[in-house]
Amino acid sequence: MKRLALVLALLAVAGPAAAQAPTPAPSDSIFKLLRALSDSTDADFGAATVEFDTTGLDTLVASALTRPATPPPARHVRSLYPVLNYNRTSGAIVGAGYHVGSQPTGFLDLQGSYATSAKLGRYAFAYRKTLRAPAGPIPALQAMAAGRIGRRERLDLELRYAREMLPMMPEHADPDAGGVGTLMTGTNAQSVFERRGFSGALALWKGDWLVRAGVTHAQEKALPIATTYSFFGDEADVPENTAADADDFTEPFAQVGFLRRDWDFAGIVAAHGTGDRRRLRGAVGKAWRLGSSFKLGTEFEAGATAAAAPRQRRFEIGGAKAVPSLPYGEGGTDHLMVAHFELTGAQDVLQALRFPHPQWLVLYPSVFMDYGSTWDDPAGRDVVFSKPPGQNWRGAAGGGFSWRLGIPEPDVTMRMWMAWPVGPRGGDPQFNFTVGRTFELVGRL
Amino acid sequence: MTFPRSPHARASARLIALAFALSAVLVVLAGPAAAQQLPPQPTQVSAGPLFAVEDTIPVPSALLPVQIVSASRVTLDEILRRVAEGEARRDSLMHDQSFTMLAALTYLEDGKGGAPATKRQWESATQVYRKKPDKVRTVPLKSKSEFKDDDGASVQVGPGMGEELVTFAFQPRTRARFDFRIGQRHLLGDRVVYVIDFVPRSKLDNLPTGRAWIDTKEFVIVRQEFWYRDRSPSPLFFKSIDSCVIERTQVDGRWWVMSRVLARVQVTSLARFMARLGKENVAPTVDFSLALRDWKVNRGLDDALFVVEKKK
Repeated sequence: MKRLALVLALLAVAGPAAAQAPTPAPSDSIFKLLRALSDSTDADFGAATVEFDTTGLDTLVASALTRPATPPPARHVRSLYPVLNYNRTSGAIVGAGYHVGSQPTGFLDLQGSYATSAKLGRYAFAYRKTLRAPAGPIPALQAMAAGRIGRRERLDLELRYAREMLPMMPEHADPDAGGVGTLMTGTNAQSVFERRGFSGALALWKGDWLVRAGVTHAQEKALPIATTYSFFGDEADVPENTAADADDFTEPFAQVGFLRRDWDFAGIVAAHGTGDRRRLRGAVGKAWRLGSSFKLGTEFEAGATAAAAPRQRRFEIGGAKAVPSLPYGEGGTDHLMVAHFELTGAQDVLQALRFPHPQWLVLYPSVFMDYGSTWDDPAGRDVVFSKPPGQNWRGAAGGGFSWRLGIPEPDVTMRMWMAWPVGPRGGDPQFNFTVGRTFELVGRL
Repeated sequence: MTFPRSPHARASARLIALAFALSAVLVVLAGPAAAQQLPPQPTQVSAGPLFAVEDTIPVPSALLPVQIVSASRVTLDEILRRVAEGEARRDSLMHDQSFTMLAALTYLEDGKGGAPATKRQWESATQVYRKKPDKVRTVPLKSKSEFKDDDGASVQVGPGMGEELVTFAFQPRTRARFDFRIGQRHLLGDRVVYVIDFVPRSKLDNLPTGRAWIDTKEFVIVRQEFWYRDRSPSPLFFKSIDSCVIERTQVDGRWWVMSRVLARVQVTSLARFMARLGKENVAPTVDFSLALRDWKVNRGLDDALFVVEKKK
């Protein structure tokens, strides 16, 4: 009975409403809606945020065009920073760098340091100037660094003169060339060599592409071990520094990169030198979304160099960014092939474990597997394509945590992984700690 | 064909489908005579019958007569496609713009009695002129800063007419990285405003969650809100971006342009510590506000306006 009464009551109310044509809302209703939403926003943010000091603004606006058109004020960047590192070929490296410049004049980066054990001075002069930026001036903090695909189109001139220590197989090296590990345990096997010379390049970032081409003139030479000191390690465990071949050359180089963030896809091809110094390397990376909480990253890298190429141009497979259960220096051949698979979850591990931690420390769980091979062409030919021998494949698998640092660029990630060898020639279990990018093997684009 | 999306709508659709099924059974049982008494069927249905459940008007729809309509309704995909086209069309039709830009940073700290203590850290006013394809002239009008360094803050304006801050989720390239859902519809006079919610498809993508209000008369975004509340775009510096509101307004009865941007950012203790090393104090909460006013669009700005005087 009650239900019937309710239905009747509803019919009484709904009947006339349904029978009548709805009154059209006035045409300015959209503005009333937006005004209401705007008022709500004002209330949320508060008057201190939403109100501006407009005193005298109308007069200033009216007279704006009476002022001469001048270029927008250049934002000058000046920063002094320390240069600190440690290496068994140099000992403690201590120095300073100074970054100065503005967009119209370009940016100069000056670095000077002293290797205390090797008793060697190190220096670098780098100059960057944006020659063309069709979409207007680039913000100073972006202009001082190399461009990035996805940011504004620009053409840069890059000049560099330096006497510096460079890592072997630089694409797999850590940013500090193993400095922290060497200082702690002395067992980091990352080898380095010295380069002294000049390079000049033009770099164009346009749409999804990066094209860089230039010339290098330099001398390279080996660096002997200068110290075996470490905080916790045994001096006898300090590995040799692989000797670079002495070289003096002038050569062209070129690089083409491609990145589509919406496809989670990136690739790079880089070519250096001619004749016996020829080196070609390519890497592609693609991430696959697995639901909303997981991502599978896949990367493939391949490279070829001349059969008689200097040691410092040859390919290695060890280290945190390649097959991490193998030490740096493993390989030294004229061909390389590596595959990397990485599955990352979106769960904040520390939060899930209710472990007290600062909010900025967000560790994502990840597991990985790497597999690859380095080999010399059996016939000693200078060829790009050479079939890898079956017995040379080596791999590692493991897991750990990824921490997206987001500085200095959004895709910079720190990985803390335990790696175990896969197969009899996969090396030894290793703990790895490295700073890289979403696509480690592709690198910065 | 439109498929109902909300649970209520799905339930209603099932009821209607059941009613149709029962009717079909009755038709078969009653024979040709009963079939002749049925109302005329819609003639312009392209792919079978269309079950549309109108959920805009919050009345007990079960008590209203069922209306069978043949008009096609705009689908979510269609809305997204048309928004991208509408925004591109808007950008392409604009040749020059001038506006006054007011920008400010406000620091919010815990004050007495729970009310936040606020401090206007930086404020500036700039007159902006820009013209396709690549001309920009900015005239600084006034500025006030509490930063120790003169370069503490700045807002740079590019020559493009597009407003990526508003359209980023709807651009053809980024659309695939979001899941969209019709959150609400507003019938406003001769307009329908759709409220579209979007969330990143992957929690590992560095993208915000948000909501956009779309005027389907012109398929332009008239307001957008987005946020990074459950994660940060840059965990070392920002705990979260609680809210970023972008408002648009219509100029000359035609052009939808950005009128205001308000964002509230929670800063990490690490970022504040690093700022203190640089002798700057940063509050735990920072509000960014931008107001764009006195818009003039397509007034034929002279190229001479952009000729920069060389320094003597």
